[in-house]
Amino acid sequence: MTNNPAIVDERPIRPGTAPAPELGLGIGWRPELAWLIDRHPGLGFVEVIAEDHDPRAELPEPLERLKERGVAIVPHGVSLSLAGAARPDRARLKGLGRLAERLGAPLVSEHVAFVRAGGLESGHLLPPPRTRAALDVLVANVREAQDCLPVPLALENIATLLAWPDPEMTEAQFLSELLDRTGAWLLLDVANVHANARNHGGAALAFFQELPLDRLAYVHVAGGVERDGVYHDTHTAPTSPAVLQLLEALAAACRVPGALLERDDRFPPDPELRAELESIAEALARGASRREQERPR
Amino acid sequence: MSPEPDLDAARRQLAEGQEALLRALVAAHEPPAGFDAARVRLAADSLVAKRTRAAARTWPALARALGPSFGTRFAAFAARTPLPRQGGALADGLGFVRSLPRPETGRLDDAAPFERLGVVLRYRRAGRDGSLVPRRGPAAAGAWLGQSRRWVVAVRVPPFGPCWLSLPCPGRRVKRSFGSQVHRPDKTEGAELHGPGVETTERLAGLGRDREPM
Repeated sequence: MTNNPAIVDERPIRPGTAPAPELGLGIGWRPELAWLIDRHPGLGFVEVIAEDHDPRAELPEPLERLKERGVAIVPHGVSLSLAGAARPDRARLKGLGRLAERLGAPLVSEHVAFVRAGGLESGHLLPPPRTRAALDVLVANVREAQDCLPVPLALENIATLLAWPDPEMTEAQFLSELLDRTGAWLLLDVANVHANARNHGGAALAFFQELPLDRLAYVHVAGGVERDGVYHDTHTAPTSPAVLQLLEALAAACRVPGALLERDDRFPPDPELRAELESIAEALARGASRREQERPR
Repeated sequence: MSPEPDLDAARRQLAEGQEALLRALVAAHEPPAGFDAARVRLAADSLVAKRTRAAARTWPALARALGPSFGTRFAAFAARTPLPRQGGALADGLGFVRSLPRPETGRLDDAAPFERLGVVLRYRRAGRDGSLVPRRGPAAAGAWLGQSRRWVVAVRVPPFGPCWLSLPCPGRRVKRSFGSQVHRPDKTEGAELHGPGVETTERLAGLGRDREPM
């Protein structure tokens, strides 16, 4: 179907955008973590859930302070529903763009997911079917979002318990073609890769190798829980050693401009969270040094 | 030029498939053909669990007041009530509070009605599905604090914070300081929030709090 000229966007394939800026170590900003974030000197960036902030209201004071400190703040959308059947909502897009400007954000991020259909809200990120037709719709939606946003967009792979029947592509093929056709950056959620490999089979490392890693903007890591043989990416537990190993392997394969820890609930004492951030930085450093050693001279 | 008829067709086909899946996930319909029914049930359960966690985080005083029963009761509410289109967990929790029987809400710890009042002063309903959007104009609301047997009336005139008037129930525990508890939204007092629930209502600055972006 993609060979049909009627369905192919007239604009040329967007060439690879410039490499993503260096972001460093980050954590998802939550009110419960504001105190720790305020006092952590090693943070290069934070992410805020875009829908939690009214772009027309004043920013919370801790975020203003981070801005002054030079910590980059990336709005992370969860409700654009870019992989939905409908065109992206203009009001939501404008709100996201306005928030990015207020925050002085170097980029915004969203998911390769749909969250609503037929007037129903899921309250959750759901996977699109991996078909050519669904990819064409997604590409059109992403281009529309990019045209409306004042800063580059990074797209994130999701974790899912569900699998649509009769996929026409693997997840890595689907993501790669999406990034190639839109020029969007990649927000690679390493924990989601781990979750999907556990729940649907497949090798997480091979998944990395199939992706255009030169488009990587930053990565997410988080902890989940395993129940009855199914891995749930709940962001309520410490990052597992398996996910840290994947992060190291990724850093050994490519430049990782930023790595961000997501923690949404069951917040641990600050020292534990600081230690977790430290272990993320160490995994990145180990990977980077492997990459340095393996580089042909 | 026509607006890409094939893309329109692709959108229609995608809409059908996604709607069928969503009905199975949030409205207890049969899973669409080809899906693993057990996985769809598991995903539906995890959606309810996620809504419950988000509501507990966004409505901490309410969750504390209901104690261990919050989880099971909210889950039962979520299973029969679709998630509002706007307002996320804030709107979801308000719908849940409204679904509780009145004698029960009257007995809740004072922080819970205060928390609700804080939300009602800052957000207004939009549409019949319980959606919430931020208020731009002034608002007034009242609540009965069953624990301390008081009525509390609150007014909020943006850009000032709310001010509260607390009225003890006549006939019981009338305090001499009644008149001194009036606060007007002038430039010195306006930004202050009084009473229990200060920390909780102040934390509700944002809409939605749809976390756990999986």
